[in-house]
Amino acid sequence: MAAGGGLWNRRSQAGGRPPARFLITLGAFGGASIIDSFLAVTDTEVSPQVGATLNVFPRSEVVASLDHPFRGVNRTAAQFFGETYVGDQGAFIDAHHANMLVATQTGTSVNHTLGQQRSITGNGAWNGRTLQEAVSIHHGEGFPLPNVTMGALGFREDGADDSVPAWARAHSISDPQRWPLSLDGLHGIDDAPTRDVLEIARSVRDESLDPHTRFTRTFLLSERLEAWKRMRGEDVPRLEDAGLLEKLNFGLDDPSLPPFDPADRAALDAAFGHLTVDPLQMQAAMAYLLIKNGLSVAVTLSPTWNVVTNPDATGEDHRIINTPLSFDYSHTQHRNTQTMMWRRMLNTLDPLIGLLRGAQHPEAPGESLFDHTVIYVATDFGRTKNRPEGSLGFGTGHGLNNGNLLLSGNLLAGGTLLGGVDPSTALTYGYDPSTGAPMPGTEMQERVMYSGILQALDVDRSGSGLPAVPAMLPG
Amino acid sequence: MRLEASSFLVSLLLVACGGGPAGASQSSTDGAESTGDVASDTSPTAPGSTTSADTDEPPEDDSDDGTDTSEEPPPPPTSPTANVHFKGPQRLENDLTAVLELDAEELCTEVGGASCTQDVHKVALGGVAPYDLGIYTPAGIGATAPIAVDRLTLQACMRRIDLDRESSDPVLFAVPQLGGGTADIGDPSAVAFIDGLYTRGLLRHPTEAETQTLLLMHADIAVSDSLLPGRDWGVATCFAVLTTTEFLFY
Repeated sequence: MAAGGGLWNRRSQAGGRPPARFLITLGAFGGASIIDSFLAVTDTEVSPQVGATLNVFPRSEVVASLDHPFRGVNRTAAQFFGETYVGDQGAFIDAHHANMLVATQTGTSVNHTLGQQRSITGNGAWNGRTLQEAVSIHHGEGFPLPNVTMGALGFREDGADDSVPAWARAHSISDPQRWPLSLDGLHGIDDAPTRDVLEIARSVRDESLDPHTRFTRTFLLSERLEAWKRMRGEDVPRLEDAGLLEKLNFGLDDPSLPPFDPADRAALDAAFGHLTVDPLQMQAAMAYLLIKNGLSVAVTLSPTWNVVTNPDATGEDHRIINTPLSFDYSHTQHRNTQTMMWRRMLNTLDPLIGLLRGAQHPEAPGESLFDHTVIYVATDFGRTKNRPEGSLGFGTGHGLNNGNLLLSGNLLAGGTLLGGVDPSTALTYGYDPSTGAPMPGTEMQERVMYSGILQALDVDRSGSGLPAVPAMLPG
Repeated sequence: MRLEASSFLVSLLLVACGGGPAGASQSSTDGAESTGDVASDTSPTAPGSTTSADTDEPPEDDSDDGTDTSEEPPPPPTSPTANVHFKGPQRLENDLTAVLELDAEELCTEVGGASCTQDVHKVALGGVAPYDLGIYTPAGIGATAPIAVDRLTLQACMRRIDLDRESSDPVLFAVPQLGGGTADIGDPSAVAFIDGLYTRGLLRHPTEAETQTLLLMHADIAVSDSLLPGRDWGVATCFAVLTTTEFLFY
């Protein structure tokens, strides 16, 4: 499917720049544990005494392959909220291992909000600038909403770098289904005056009323008023002229609205099974549409701490789509929560990757959007590694030591594991950022992950003092 | 869409009024003293009903203290701090419900019936969503906020104008309708309507130029594709006034 359209065309008129690159940040809210997924440890790797008190899995529940360095946990969470959730990480790895990079790191906070924000700022590695802001500054010129966030809590917060221009800050979307309504002043309003009338009224306001008031003269120096008038004069016509409702409105089916693009309708319906009830799938669909239609270069999504249900669930559908607290329900039931939530993450990533892989980059003929995208599965922190002796229904606390999953079509060293895990402690260890050689006994700082992602996205980091991480780049 | 029929007349009027509406603003504002209640004064004799354009005279000075009334009032001092803030969803809802005498529930709803200010556009308008998204402090106002404001105000104005058109005791809009669905903007009620919007929404009377600008807008709407130009003029006038920065910021 070819991406493209008016906004891409307008951007391409500037010419002379390399194809834009994209960052999708999936916030694994609550603490996604890397040793419950791609760095799982089996009970055969440790002594029975050690294994009984560590978060290690029966050998039968862990899959591995000689084709790649990743492991996957295939276990079933039975009677979890009264339902059964079958985890099949192996299937995701089989499909995507060539595009996967797993790198270890150790965070600096076990506070959710701080941990989440540090996962996108590298713990303030570049004056507090978020990854999304840095990517927007470098690649977002010409995009109407370069940095869009649909995530929650710390994943949604702006960075602390005051030098980041306002246009590169995150634009918040609270409801991907209904947000497209805010892209047009008239569509969907029954019995509204015509567009001509609306434009007459706007013109009178902007050209004859507003400029001449004592209020305007008094507050002539207001940057907020200046920004408002700029948005009203430049951004509004640009957004409305692009006809974005028909490109982005996948969720509202109403005769008063322009029909959603039928090709995208079919693609989204085929990709996502619960697009009408699952907020995370809605976010993923919107991420795809924002990138495909040339609106954004950095998009953030995440579940929240709220339970999500599917009241119409039948057959194999689950009534509980999202646990309370997402991954943080691990406090109560670690294994089942990690099984269910990793399943949820991977079941969201898989169709999103498929959509991006199937869409051609308008600025790079013959190459897909996925080729030019990095997907970063960020998380607050890891979980504690121990358990009561022999317990299978244990709870865990917040732990600094962890690792992350990254995916890209062509921007990362696919099929690579950077670092590793010590089976005797289940703690991850570091690697040489230059060569990728494992370095047991070391830990990786958040800034290394931060820098490696920006490097893969070809963001100009000069003057930042960030380390080079060539080990993350393709050979 | 740009002004057509009336644009030249508006330009002339602005020149006649001393370069812009601000030149008459102080006169109109202080004229409120004579009305007693600026929030409810919609009488045909409210300031603005006698225009400088009618008399070919410059706007009267407000002071009535024997000074030379032919001079343009001095421009307002420019605030060095210019510390103004966008109202955000709750203040906008409060103000629009008060100005238009509507219940919050009927102010504006989007497809599906969800509230514009409490739900669909809440975050876009700078609101918080602590329980759903962990937004504890207002997010920055982004590029879609002006569109959200337009949708909110347009729907609120439609509600008020449509209610008034069907009412024997209209709140704001009592302008007689003429043939072809146009409005009789020569009727004093047209000026009173504009004055009511300003006094309720901006707590001042409109300047002469502002009144004339809005009256002349009817001519543009009458030659547009509008099927109900009189009603749409009422909506457009309400919309134009209540989406000025003077109304949206404080």
